[in-house]
Amino acid sequence: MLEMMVATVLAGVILVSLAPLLPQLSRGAVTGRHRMAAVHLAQQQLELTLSQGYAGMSSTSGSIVLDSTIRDVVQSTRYDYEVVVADRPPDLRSVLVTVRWTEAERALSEQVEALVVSP
Amino acid sequence: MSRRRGLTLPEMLVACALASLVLTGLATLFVQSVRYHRALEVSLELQQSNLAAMALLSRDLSEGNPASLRTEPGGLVMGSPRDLVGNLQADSQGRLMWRKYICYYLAPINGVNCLLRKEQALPVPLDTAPILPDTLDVLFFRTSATPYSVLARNLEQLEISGSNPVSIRLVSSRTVANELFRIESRSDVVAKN
Repeated sequence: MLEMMVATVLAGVILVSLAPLLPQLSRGAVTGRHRMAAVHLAQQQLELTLSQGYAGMSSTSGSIVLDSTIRDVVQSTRYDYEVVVADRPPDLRSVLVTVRWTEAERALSEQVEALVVSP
Repeated sequence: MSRRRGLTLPEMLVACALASLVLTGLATLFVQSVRYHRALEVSLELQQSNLAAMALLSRDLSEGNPASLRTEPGGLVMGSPRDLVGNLQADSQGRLMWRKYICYYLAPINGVNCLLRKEQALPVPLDTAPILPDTLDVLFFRTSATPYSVLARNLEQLEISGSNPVSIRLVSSRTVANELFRIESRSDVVAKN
């Protein structure tokens, strides 16, 4: 009887200590998906900017709203992107893409940067 | 001489019941993790494809002119100042030259709805945005032999509305193992030229 009680108490302690981890895991999964979308978006904007060539690259900005429906659950997120092209003398240009979004009232962002040499 | 006592039937039954509970829990966890992995994989693939199409469409529209844009259900045709290689060029007075037409439309490729893009050079570069002739509609590009590029697979809807800003809506969806995955992206683009 005593052994059973000790085992039950130990199991209870372990379960109670693990319980707070579940919401954190769930939040982590959501953040991971948002971050993945932001990185995709940033890389695509970077590729588009680089495809314009050294002389044709220009700064731009915009936003995309993404609604994901998985198992009838809709999740809507707005991603704001900003592409900044800056001269870096003597013969370089930097392209910095920043993607920002808000998640549970937290402002998050991802950045991708590339340097281009003058041809 | 020692005698070792074995397990009684009730003890065995309790042990079996506990083991089956634990195994059922583990099996459920395994099935859920496989489903989660599949959901993540499919939704990321849809998302990546949808965002790539949205990025290119947004850039083309932002470089275009509302006067040189024709929208139809499931497609659009527009003038573009880039040549077929992708370069922008100005004339001797610094005016941007319009070099080609671009068409986006939805069409099935091997049974999968895709967003396709075709380009056609203007006969002569123009210094103002080209007014699209009536014959130059989505059907013209659909039936022309011009090579196309596939921008996105599993794209179900393409909607363009408004003149400036132009509103774009792209919907991708895919059903895997009786589960529907759907990604919708929306963006407003201001045509600058």
